[in-house]
Amino acid sequence: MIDDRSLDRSLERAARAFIEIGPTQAPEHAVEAALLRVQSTPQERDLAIPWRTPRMNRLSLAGAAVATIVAIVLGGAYLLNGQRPPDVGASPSATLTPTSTPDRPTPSAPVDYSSLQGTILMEHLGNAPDLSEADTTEYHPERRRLYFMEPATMSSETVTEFLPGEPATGKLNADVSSDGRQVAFMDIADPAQIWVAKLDGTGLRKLTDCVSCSELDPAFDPTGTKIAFVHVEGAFRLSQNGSNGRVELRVAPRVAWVGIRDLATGAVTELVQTSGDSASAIPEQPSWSPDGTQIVFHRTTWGSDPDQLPTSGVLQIVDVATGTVRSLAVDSKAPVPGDPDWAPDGSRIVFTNYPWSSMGSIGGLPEPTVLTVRPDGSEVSLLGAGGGASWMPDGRIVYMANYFRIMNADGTEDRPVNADGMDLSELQQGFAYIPHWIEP
Amino acid sequence: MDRDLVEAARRNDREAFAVLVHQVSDSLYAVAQRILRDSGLAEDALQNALVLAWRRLPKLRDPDRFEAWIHRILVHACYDESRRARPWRAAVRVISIDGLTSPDGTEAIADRDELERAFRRLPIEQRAIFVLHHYLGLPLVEIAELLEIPAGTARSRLHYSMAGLRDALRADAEPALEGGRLA
Repeated sequence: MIDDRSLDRSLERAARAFIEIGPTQAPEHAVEAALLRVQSTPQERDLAIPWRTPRMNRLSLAGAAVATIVAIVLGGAYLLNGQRPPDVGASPSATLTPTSTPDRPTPSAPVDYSSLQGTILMEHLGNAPDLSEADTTEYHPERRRLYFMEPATMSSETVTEFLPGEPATGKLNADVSSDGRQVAFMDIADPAQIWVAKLDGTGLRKLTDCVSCSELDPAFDPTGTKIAFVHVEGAFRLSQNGSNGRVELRVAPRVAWVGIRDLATGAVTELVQTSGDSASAIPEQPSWSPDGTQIVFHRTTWGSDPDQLPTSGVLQIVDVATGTVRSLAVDSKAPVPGDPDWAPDGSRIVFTNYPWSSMGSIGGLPEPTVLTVRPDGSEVSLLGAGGGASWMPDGRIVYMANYFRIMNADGTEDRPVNADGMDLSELQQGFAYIPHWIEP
Repeated sequence: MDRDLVEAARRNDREAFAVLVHQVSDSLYAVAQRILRDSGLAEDALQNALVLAWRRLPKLRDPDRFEAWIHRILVHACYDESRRARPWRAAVRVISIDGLTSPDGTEAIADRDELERAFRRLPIEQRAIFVLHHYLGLPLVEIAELLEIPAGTARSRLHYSMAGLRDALRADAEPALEGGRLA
């Protein structure tokens, strides 16, 4: 039996030889494309006051410093006020085809990122972003966690975990109540259950103990007193453990529906017309209209081949009072729509084509895109590449495209949340996605 | 690296920056492709790194550190690209089975395809350390300084990269199991 040390030396020689082989020249088109982008990209500059300036005494320097700070504060306030999103009820930009994904514009005016108020609650996969866990190639389903991040200083040093270790089975598909005081999420247990806690982590409670059914995808109603959720029997949605989509079939009956649970009494209302075969088209990711009268959700249809992508999907809206369900015709621009979120003013619904929360994995998927649509199904608008989109209280959209970004409802004023634009690169472990913006 | 070119590029001289780009892009792309194991992702990482380097160039304090600095940006761009394309898999248990190695050990070192599969299983951060050390020939101390991580972290990532390769090669060599018995 060869000893490990000799094997390691041989392996190291082989690995070095292996890594030597490969391209040594950059493709010219890639270099030229980068230089073309540079033409329209401004450099970042620090504001510096000269240390020594002729004919300036200390008082003049101090005065210049104060004036500069005042200018930055006033300028930042002006930019934020001047850059308030347009009335989301206004006509959006022209509808684009999915093949013409718009480029990401660089803001021409500097933005005072320190004035972005609020906190981001984000969903995270993998080793802890605060670097507290050793590297591992193993995937742990319980390493699906929720973290708070401050927009202006997003990094491994400033991230804070929400409810560390509780529940032990991990957390995903969170929702924050509109008053910013409660968080609901589902666990990764089998069957999965829904939990609710206050934003400060107190008051954690599990809503059910169903042994034969899962409850998924919680969504607070506008009053924060009810939760819409998805009830599943006879199947296990694989995205819960990070696998790429589909469901694992189990014993009959195979049924899934959207329900409403009263948080005070525990009473559940089944929205019967949302019911479907859990084997083929589970309703997912409900989101309430701001007046509490309707709930939008999606269904994704998977084919029989477990290695294939979903074949189709649909956005549907259920009327809470009557229980009637209607579909939104967005499939021509988004064949697999999902992860809908209803705007605070009720005028539009943002959603993702190839929604991550249903897929479970981001590997091997077509590039997701963010779109909006009016609740009557009209004016489907492609905003660009990205996923995990949701509305901010001020009517802008926060979403994920390599890193967290924000934009107006019509896709304008798109920018990274963090000034460096590479905030997620500071998370040296794991992967962060699906941000929820919480106002202070 | 011409210090004057870097200084000029820092002052918004795009032509100077283009010259710098042509001087470093081959090395950057070679590193990116070896880390990401995908030409398309490597091209994206290269482009993003070059644009970000242009944006941040005024903040580079020491022009003589330009090459190390831009390689750091490139490595982080590779991290970003890997997160976009990373497939998630359920945990795979590695089962050691005796008798896989031959007496002198060399035949147990897998062929290129097996090494490729094993390398792809490594976390992106370990791959980066491995490439910087074994392809660029950088000492661990210099890698740590380049990536702005502790030297111990660089050392441990290199160690775990080799351990990961060894374990992954052993897992690949494991015969198929069927019904609890060897197929």
